[in-house]
Amino acid sequence: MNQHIIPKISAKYVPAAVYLDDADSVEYVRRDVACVYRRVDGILTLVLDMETRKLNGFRLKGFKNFFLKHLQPKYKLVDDDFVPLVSAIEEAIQLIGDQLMNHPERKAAYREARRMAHDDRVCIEHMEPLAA
Amino acid sequence: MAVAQKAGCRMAAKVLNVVRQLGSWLDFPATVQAPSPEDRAVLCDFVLGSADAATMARIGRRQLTFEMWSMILGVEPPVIGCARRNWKTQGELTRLAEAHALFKGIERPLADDDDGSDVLAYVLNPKFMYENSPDMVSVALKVAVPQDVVFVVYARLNKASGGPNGARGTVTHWHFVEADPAFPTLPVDFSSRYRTRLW
Repeated sequence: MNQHIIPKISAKYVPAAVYLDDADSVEYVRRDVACVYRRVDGILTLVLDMETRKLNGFRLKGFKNFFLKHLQPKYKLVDDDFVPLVSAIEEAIQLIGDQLMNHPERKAAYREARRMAHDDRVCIEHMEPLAA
Repeated sequence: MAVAQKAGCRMAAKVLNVVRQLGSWLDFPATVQAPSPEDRAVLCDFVLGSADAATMARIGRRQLTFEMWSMILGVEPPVIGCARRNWKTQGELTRLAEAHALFKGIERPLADDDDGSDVLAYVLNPKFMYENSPDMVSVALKVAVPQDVVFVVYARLNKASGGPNGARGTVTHWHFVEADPAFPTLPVDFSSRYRTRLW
């Protein structure tokens, strides 16, 4: 690991969505605290603050496949573009479609994640690993 | 001249030491031991994926890396002041080798695995962990883990037998999930969340 890219341990967390290559997921959290991950379905997981159990973020799973099949063709994205995650969540909602109608809790979870992505203007950048 | 050289060498050594310490919290071992999928009494090696920890470190996220040190490797995070801040908090840390349940198949794609069928989910029941809680002494604080959660470590099995250094696969990610009310040592909805229970 190159020493020059390693940030200081004291570096302050700046909320940002990142693509996690090993986990094949995009994750966003507001605060860097201990969390509990609540699975909604194969696409969405809500990230809850462990102490308060309030929503602290969300994780979009299997993102590489989802990006290549659904987001990149629709938005004609290139490597240095950024994707607003609100668009990604809306695309996932469209994909799941009618299934959400019969599952109010699941629908509410998508709504919560979408609201956070919208309010915090969450984007994912640096998509080179996804395009590979 | 010789004195100046000696002083220069000492200064360089100090600087190098600081640089090493700055990065040491991301200096993971290449592999970690876990119970074998076939026989929990036998340990096998998994590669410890470090790319995601580096990605998170770039935006200043430390929590998941502290969880890896304290609940997968079973040691305190190598950060300045950690031992000094937490010396009073007694309690054993947990290692991946101490997993008490193992599931296979995560019912969602993971990279090139279309349905997550080659993914293992090790379940642990840690009592203590380190959390990101900066103060004047250290950024890591040892705390008790709530009793209504379990810790799950995911590993992707190699397709061909025998990966790098004989590893069975790669540890890809980990997190806490809520415990099942009926089976408090297992993840909630474990029967629909995973395909099969191996042990």
